[in-house]
Amino acid sequence: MRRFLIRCLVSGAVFFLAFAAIDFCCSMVAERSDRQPFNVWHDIMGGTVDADVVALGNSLVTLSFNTEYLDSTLGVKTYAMGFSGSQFDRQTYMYSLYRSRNRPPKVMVNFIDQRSMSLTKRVPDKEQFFPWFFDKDFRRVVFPVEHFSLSERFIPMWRWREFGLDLFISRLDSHITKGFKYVSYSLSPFPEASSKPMRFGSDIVALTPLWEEYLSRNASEGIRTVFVVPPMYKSYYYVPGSKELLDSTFLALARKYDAMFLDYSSLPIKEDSTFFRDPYHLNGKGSEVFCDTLARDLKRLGL
Amino acid sequence: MTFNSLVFAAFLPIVFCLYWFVFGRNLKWQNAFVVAASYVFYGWWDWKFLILIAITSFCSWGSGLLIHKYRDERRKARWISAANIILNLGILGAFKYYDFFARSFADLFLGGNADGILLNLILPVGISFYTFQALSYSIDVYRGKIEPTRDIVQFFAYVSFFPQLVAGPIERATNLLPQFGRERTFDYGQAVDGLRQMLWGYFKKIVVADWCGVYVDKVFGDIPGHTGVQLAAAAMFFAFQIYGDFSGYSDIAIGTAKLFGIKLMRNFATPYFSRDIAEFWRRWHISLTTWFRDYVYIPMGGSRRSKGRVALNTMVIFLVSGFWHGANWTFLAWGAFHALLFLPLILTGNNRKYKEIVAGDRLLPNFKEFCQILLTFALVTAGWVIFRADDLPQVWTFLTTMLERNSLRDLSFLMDKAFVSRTFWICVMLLVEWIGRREEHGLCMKGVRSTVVRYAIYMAIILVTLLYYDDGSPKFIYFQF
Repeated sequence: MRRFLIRCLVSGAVFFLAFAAIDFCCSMVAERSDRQPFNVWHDIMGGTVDADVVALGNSLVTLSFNTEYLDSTLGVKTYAMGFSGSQFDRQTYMYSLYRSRNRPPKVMVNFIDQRSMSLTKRVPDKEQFFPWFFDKDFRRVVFPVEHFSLSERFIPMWRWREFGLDLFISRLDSHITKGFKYVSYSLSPFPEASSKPMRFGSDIVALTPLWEEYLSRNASEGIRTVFVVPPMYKSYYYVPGSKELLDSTFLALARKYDAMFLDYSSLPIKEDSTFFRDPYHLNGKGSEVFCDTLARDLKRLGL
Repeated sequence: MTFNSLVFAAFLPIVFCLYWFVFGRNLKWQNAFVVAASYVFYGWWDWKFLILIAITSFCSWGSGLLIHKYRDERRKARWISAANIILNLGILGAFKYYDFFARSFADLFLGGNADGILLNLILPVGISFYTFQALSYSIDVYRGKIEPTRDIVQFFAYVSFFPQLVAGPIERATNLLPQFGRERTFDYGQAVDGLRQMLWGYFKKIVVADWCGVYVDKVFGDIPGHTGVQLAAAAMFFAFQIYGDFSGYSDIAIGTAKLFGIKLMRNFATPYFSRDIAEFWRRWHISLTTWFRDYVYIPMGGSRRSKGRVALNTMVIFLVSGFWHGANWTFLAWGAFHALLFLPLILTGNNRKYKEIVAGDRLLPNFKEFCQILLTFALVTAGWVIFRADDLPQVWTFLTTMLERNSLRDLSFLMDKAFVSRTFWICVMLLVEWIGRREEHGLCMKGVRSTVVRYAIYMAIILVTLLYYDDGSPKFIYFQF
């Protein structure tokens, strides 16, 4: 019995150390990856976001804010800081880490929509955080919000379960340019309506103080803020009253903090599904049309 | 509590330590602790289930004593034995089969309106397993094969021993009960082998079964939306899903029992390497097959009767076996399908042709053996389609869609990474089981002398199992039976 227990303990220790080493290697590989879902964090944490115009938002930014196109059209450096599935409270900690390690932008473009104003408990793709579990700043900012379990924090490789092989084999996507992902297809058959009506309403009230804090910080540091309402396909489901509430809230904030409000929800492309990957996201072709209009408006506003 | 839950990961070491260090010096206390731990394990689902298992255990224990008391008055003993069988099967029937019969009755005579006659009882997990285990005891006492035990705690431990409580192996009193009657000593080699067997069981469950199950559920959820090749692939994946799931459970159960100094019977012996259906049934779910053989088939006359009677016995045994799996026409059809495959073998006297494992000491099977294995696997897989379907019309839809939409044009899914990875892990499982086919389980590692290599293999298996582990991992398929 004694021999068995000692062997169990020794084996357990050997496995623990070996898995810790493998965990470290996985984290290193992922940390250095410039592919989804690590690419944006990689740039932020590595301090390599070198841009004058930075867009902040959820996956809408990743698929709509065509950085290559905007760079050539605007003649300035741009960056798409999309945080998949995130709401604004989470975007603020991404922004805080970005600001602490990178040069400041001249303009922040914030994508506004009902989804990023609906608070949810868990961000999808939580594997995007894994490589930085040992980074002090990252832990300080991210852990209080994301609530990783003790086993995920301290048992080597445990947090990689479900994602592990799949993450390294299937989901890495190389078509990423400064945070922008060019999607060349439309879903087929094209979904006619969003199947998930989302919660909305009181959450925007809860998020308003965060917006105020964010906007006042930008204003004090001379960073201009632009609110952008991106186009959605005509069948996209809006919670009744949500569009009006968003417009009134952000128009008021724009007035208060001298920000701009650009509404593209009625762009003609919303009628044509070939510009969309799904009712919520533009595809590559749609992103070019949208960014063409956006670039013209930004130029006209003197940016 | 399931074997693939984090709760069990905490439960097992605690129970192990208490079992050996605190209760190890006194057999009675050790058995009492086994009962307590097993009841915690089982009550984790729903404490109300404990009432049923306690009733089943108590009645079977009491009937064993009464049968023994009246052993010279066969008539009385027979009545007591019959009463115990009726009681146990009555409980099983009420919980598992009543609604099925009520619904079928309503379909036939009430225009399908079963409102008011259904009981809608929740099926307690593992009820078929422990009921059969308890029954085997009282029948064996009646037959004079074993002496009844007066020790109620020992008997309760026999019925409820947690590793095999909810999905077998369905133990016999002749094997398991005496083990609870004698002092257990810790056996280092047995415990280490138990851990290996558990590890291999987890691999089969998490990496093979659950991973294949994702694809199978998707395809069976939308049969018309898939091509014939995709349906065939789903059928094949289900064959490995159910094998990985159930034999994985058995390996974990047997391995866990070894940690407690208890030897359970083997439940699977590489069934997919069988050369005909008869061999398959000697290697698949051995504890149930032998149970039906000993307590139903042989009492009916077995194969020592006229050919017509043998055919009838065979058909009955397979139908009962199918029905044991669940109250659904699909299980009966599955049983009938296997009976039809088995009948030609038994009627021509070829059902015991292959008793030894295929290929003997050779590295690979010969061409003939290989073809036999493939053919048997194909037939078994066809049977699994019936088994997996929700109802008989779905079986028909599956088969017709598979035959009608059999275009080979859309084979791109074969290159899908998830498809490739599933196939890869199935191949790994088959390779390991082929190498260890003469041993008790795939990961016996008898040929591996180097400690470094052994540890590297353990580590690789743990790592892959960990990476495929899903917190919301589905329960074991056989829990529903």
